[in-house]
Amino acid sequence: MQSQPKWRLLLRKIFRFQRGYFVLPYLFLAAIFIIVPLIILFVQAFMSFEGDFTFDNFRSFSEVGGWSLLWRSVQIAGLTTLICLLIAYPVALILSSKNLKVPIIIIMFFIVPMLINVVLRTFALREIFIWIERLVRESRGEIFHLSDNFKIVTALILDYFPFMLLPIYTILRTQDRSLSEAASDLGASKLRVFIKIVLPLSLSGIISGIMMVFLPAISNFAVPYVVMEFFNADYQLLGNLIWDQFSSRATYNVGAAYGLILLLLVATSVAIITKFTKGKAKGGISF
Amino acid sequence: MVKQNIKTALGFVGRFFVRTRRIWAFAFLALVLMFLYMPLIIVFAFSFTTGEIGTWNGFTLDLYLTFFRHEAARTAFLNTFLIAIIAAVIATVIGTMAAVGMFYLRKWRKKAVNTINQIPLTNATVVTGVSIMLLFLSLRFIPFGYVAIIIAHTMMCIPFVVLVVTPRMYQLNPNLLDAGMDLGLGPAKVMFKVLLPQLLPAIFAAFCLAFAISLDDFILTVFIRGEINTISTFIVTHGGYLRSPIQRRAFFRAIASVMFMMTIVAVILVYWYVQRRKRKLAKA
Repeated sequence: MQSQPKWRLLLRKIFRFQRGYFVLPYLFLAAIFIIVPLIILFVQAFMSFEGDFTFDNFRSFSEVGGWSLLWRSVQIAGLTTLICLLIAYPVALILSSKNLKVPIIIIMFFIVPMLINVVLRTFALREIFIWIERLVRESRGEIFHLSDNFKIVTALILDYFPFMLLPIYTILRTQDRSLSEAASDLGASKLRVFIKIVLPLSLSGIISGIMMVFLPAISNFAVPYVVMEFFNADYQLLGNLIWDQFSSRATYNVGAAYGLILLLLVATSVAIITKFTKGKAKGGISF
Repeated sequence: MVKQNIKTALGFVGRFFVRTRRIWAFAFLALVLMFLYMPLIIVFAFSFTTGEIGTWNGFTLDLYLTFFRHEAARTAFLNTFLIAIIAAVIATVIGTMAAVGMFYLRKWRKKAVNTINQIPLTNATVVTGVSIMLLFLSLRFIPFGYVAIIIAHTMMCIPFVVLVVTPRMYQLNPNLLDAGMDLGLGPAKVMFKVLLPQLLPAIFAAFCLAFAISLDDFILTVFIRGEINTISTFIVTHGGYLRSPIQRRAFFRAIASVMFMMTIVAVILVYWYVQRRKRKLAKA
């Protein structure tokens, strides 16, 4: 084929259809609907309403109390993640145990809530809260309100529990039993086997689960919005703050700036976590 | 001696859970399951009666009738499924193509595409919603409404499709494609006749996942919905909750119950179908 000049060969090679080209439609769409929006977000965050370059949008974050709101979101999300982990891990242990033959249908039922609309699930929980409050009010005679934080944390746990369960269960299920058997043959007690073998090997699943719960929990606004009976008065979490910029006022630039803050927050967390887990074995969805 | 043998034979977790402890394990599972499903089950139970939750006013299907007659609710319900199907189909097609193409890319290009694919997954949905909304505001020829929602849902689902199909690509035997070409199929035909049938279970799973994700979505929809409602935005916007009388909002229970029951039925059907196929394969 050396009869042709080099550039012609190159052109021919590019235009010949190769299997990798299948990826092009997606890349085209991704460029328009993923990359460009992020660029627009970035640009709009630094623009005022009239169109001048400004940092004001970011400054208003502190004025509105964004940092304390962020801290509160982190606390709530952290508590949610912790409780989810404490409950999901034993469940995953039981579900993945080869001796208690847990039927697949039960495992599926743990996953099913993920498939039901989050608004519907949270709405159902709200009804329960209203009922409980009414019952207590009728029996005691005084107005009773469950604490806000309790409602939000419970709703978030209900929402994100399957997301914590799935990675841990996947890792535990494919764990090599012979290692634990070897350890106990060598004389380790049951507890020791668990702490030294099962737990460390499942660590990547735990971290995967934490990431799938903590990060979305910080930025979730559907759940608090529904649980708190659609009040706009009291921002509960970061997501609510962002949403408020777009729903009640037309302060799109401020909302873009807040969104950018959230984006940077999440991206940094993910980067840090992936750096720390580089060495460990991988499993589950890699984030 | 016998007891020791049983214990070693049962393996690691068996040492924790001998016969009697099986009951404790299942009791714990039942407790957690109950906690997970209690709100939906209670709402389902009380969807057959009017009035506040907690007071039983006699069995009636009134709430369901109100739901079917309520035009906005009905439209929202149908919208949700329509959008989910369209978005899932498009996402599955483009996502499968992307997964196949990605498999045959060189190392650094594969990594680049993978990173782009991860962006919608790692971004908070709020951020994706905001950015897409700003995009549609700038490109004024794409109106808010059906088109916008379908586009947004599709872009949200494609990464999941890629995530499901890609592992399957790695499980395939690469020699089969070459064998197909040796036997005379052209490079295009070999894709359809050899690759696609093997990917079919993954493609089906990806479609179901995309469908479920689109049904499930609220945050992304609420930014670009314009006048259109899906079930989730309908319930949220027609809330005004405590201010409207119980009669007007009680039928939300019916909506929630319908969706809940549909999901349960779908899961049971899938389980039954998978069991049947297993038995068929076992017999053959």
